[in-house]
Amino acid sequence: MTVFDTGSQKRKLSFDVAIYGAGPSGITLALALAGKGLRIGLFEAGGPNPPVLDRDHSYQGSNRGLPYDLAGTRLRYLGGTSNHWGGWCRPLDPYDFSGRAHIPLSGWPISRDELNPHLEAALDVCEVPTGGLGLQAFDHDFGYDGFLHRAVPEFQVKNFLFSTPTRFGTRYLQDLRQADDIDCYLNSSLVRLAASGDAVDSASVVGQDGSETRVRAGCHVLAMGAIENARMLLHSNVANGSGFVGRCFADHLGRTIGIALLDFSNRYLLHHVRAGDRYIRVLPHLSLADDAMRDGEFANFGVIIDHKGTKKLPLGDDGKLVQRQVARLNRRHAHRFRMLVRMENTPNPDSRITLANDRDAYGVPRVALNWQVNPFDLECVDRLCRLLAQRIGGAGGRVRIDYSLEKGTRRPGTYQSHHLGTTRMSADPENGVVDRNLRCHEVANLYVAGSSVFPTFGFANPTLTIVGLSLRLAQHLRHELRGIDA
Amino acid sequence: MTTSAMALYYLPRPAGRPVTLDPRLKAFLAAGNFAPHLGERYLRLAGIPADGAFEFLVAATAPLVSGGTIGEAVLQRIEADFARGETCNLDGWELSLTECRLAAITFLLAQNGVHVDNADIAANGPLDHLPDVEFAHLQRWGPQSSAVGEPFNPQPNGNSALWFRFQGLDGYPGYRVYFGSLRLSTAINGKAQLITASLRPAQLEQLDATPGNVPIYLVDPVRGKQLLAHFRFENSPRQAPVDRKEISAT
Repeated sequence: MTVFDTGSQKRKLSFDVAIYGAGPSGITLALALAGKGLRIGLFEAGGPNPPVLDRDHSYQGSNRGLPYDLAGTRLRYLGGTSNHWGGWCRPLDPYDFSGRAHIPLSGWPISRDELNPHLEAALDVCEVPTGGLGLQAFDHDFGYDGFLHRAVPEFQVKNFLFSTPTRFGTRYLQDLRQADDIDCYLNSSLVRLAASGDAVDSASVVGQDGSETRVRAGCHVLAMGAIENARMLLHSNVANGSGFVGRCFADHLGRTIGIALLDFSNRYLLHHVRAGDRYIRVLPHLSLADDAMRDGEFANFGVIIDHKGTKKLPLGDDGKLVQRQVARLNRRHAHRFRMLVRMENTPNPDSRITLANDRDAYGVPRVALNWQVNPFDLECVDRLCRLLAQRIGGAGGRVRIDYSLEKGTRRPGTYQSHHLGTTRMSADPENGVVDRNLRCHEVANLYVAGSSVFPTFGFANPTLTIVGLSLRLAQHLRHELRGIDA
Repeated sequence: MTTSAMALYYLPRPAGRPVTLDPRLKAFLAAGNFAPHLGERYLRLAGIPADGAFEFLVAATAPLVSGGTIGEAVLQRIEADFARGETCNLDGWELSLTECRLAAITFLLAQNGVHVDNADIAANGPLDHLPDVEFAHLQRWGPQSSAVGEPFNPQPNGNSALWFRFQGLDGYPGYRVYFGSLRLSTAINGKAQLITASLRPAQLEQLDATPGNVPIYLVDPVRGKQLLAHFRFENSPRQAPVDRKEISAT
């Protein structure tokens, strides 16, 4: 690979595959395509190090919806947002892939089973130790005797596992360098796609020195994150026949919902589990089985029940009496736990990214965000809280629901910096932007990778699924461009 | 059914109302399982009229005393309440209607001047109904005897103290030590497998002890009682003065 540190040096470049964005999605895709006789260009708008997020930075934009830090939740340099990733890993559940009558626009055009082989491979890419269990580790019983979900049939445990975390820009730099068929261009910002008919003719990339390069490719892949992907399609006015580009922007919400008094064995918090000669980190979440979730018309969720900050959780005078009463009735101490729900946002077409009137230094219109959460999602949390209170009460604990425990400015919750949904995948062109192979419905040689293609979002962190989708896209492109099957 | 918030309701003291509570339930409440304050909050929130409140609550909880041990019946009823959604929200806490009602009965009993205290328990023989069980193996204990009327193992606050070392103690905080029919102030240290209990000077006088043995029980009102040992009261030296010469002769 050749790495150009300061933008492109030629005025015209040509590749079999041009990938824009060198985060987890773009780097995974480039490396998965390497060695197959394809010429690959990987363009990263940032350099090797974090940029200064000053007022002029391209990530700055306006926001008129729920509070959201447009610039601070993104990283414009090699490795992208993997550079501030916490390493949380869990694939989306089969429930998330399925159509749900109570959630409009729900369902993926592919199944979880179809993605499973790529998710297994993604575990290696993301360096997630699973103790040899592979994907099964995410639903495995890591010794949960006495846990609440054992006593309540409709409950289920859903594990998160953890990557190192892998910083893709440094972890895979050597692999990129050793790949003769990949050229990587740093400080090279995609500023426009030029399309005619049903194909992209070329892409314009501007280097740090202001020089513009025209990129031609057999196929172009946007892998710049859910905000930039939509911004570029809107700015270039391509692939938006359905009007869904920029719509259904979402993020996962984490929200402290109350206090639980429970037996100490109910620790839905970080565990270190011995697997061979090492320990793996497992964070079990309390959730519902798919059938119970569907019957109850819930969006997906996971609840952490932990001790974090419990000294600051006020029991109140009544709470102390309840605690004592429960302890006497159950003949064991009732411990105080915090309950935090990590919840799915359901697709909301009015939650969207549009283009502002002002432009950045490259002449690209800035982003205007209007992040909205469906009232259904918050109503789901209310119903979930009632369900938790009843089921935990029936199992011998007690619950106090108290939304005010979430810090003031963070209502309806703390977003997780997971940008989702702005170029959604759909079976038919009317309801989305890309098809099941991540190709834009209307543009034959334009693909989109990353979490912007998620039609529904579950509650799991997206990185593992993003990497799995990139590996699947690589398989598809190898087949399309070279006739290579899986 | 969830009890919704209602206007604050003044609940006058239901004086003079006859208490028709089942003795087993009364003993269970006497063990301090329910907080009267929560009961008061429930009565105000639910707007249960003062007139007939006690009878209503006793009738509502009557199935609890139809059979089996009272503790198990209470737990089963609470579980069923949550399963049916028959709960009450007190200051955000989701509680079962049964536990709220039992707390309310405890409150009304206290309001009515019916103090389910040690004397009441003694008069009704509350330990008789409890099954004999073994919670843990008693290894050592002390002191095992004293002179009639004299404090034993005296503490700085004037109380007389007993200690019990166990094997297999589960640390349940609701255990109480009974000295005969007197419920003692009890401290449980599950980690150290140790229980300590103390008699106040007034309780010692209340015993009106005579030479002989007093049974000591460890009581869990839900599971039953365990006879731990017998404390021996001996003749008081004040009642039978000792001949100093005789002592020195021996």
